[in-house]
Amino acid sequence: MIGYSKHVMSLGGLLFELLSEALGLNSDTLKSMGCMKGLHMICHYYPPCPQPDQTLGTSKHSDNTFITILLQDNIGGLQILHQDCWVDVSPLPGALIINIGDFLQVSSLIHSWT
Amino acid sequence: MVVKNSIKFNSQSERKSLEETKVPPIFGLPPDALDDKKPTSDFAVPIIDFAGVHKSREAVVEKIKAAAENWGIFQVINHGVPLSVLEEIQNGVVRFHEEDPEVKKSYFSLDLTKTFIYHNNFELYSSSAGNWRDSFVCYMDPDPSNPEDLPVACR
Repeated sequence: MIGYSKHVMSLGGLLFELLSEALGLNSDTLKSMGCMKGLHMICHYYPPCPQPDQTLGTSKHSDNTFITILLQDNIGGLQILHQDCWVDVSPLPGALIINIGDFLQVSSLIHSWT
Repeated sequence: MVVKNSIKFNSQSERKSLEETKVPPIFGLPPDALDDKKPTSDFAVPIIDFAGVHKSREAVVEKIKAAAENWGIFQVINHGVPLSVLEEIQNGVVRFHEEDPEVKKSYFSLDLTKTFIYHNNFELYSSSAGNWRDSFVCYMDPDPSNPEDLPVACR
């Protein structure tokens, strides 16, 4: 976990630079706002289920983060709501999924208003 | 503590016992689970290759801009995290979750101020339906964990 989190922090740094640039801001803007102050690792395990049609592994949600860096296993199951349809986020070996969290969405809106 | 994963598939009879087990009502589908939104394969989540990020940074920034605006999510390949590190963390997570329940119980808590907590239903305290999963949460920054505070299985 310690090794993985160091790599993730470094990738996070690059992502916040690129996201700042995508917003038309200086590379360091999101980092200087404190987006990288805090790393929380959440690790889920989905045990066998006797009635998989009667429950959900993860229910509908958005992430209360700036960004989420997600490592999915090869079984898949993650779906995202896009244009009112559920779209599979197909497992791609070696890939990491980047989700724009609620805090970043709000921060970028505030930036566009000011 | 609700034990979901105490049943192992070691024999036919054990498999049968799982089949006969019912999902407790607290894990039932949330009311909005069966809405009118349908699955589709007409779209695909964008995949962005970071291999060229140092040479053609502007092209990668453009892709991120489009993905963030249109999707809010994307997959990244050639991100610089070695495959061996990804495999090891996945194995470590499985090792912890498949530990003896007694070991996991010692980390069982809802106190989010702790460095490492294990729980098998955070949602029960924040929403109407539980999720069929077990989770652990660990703060890695700004106070990097002392390795001693982490379970040996996933340190």
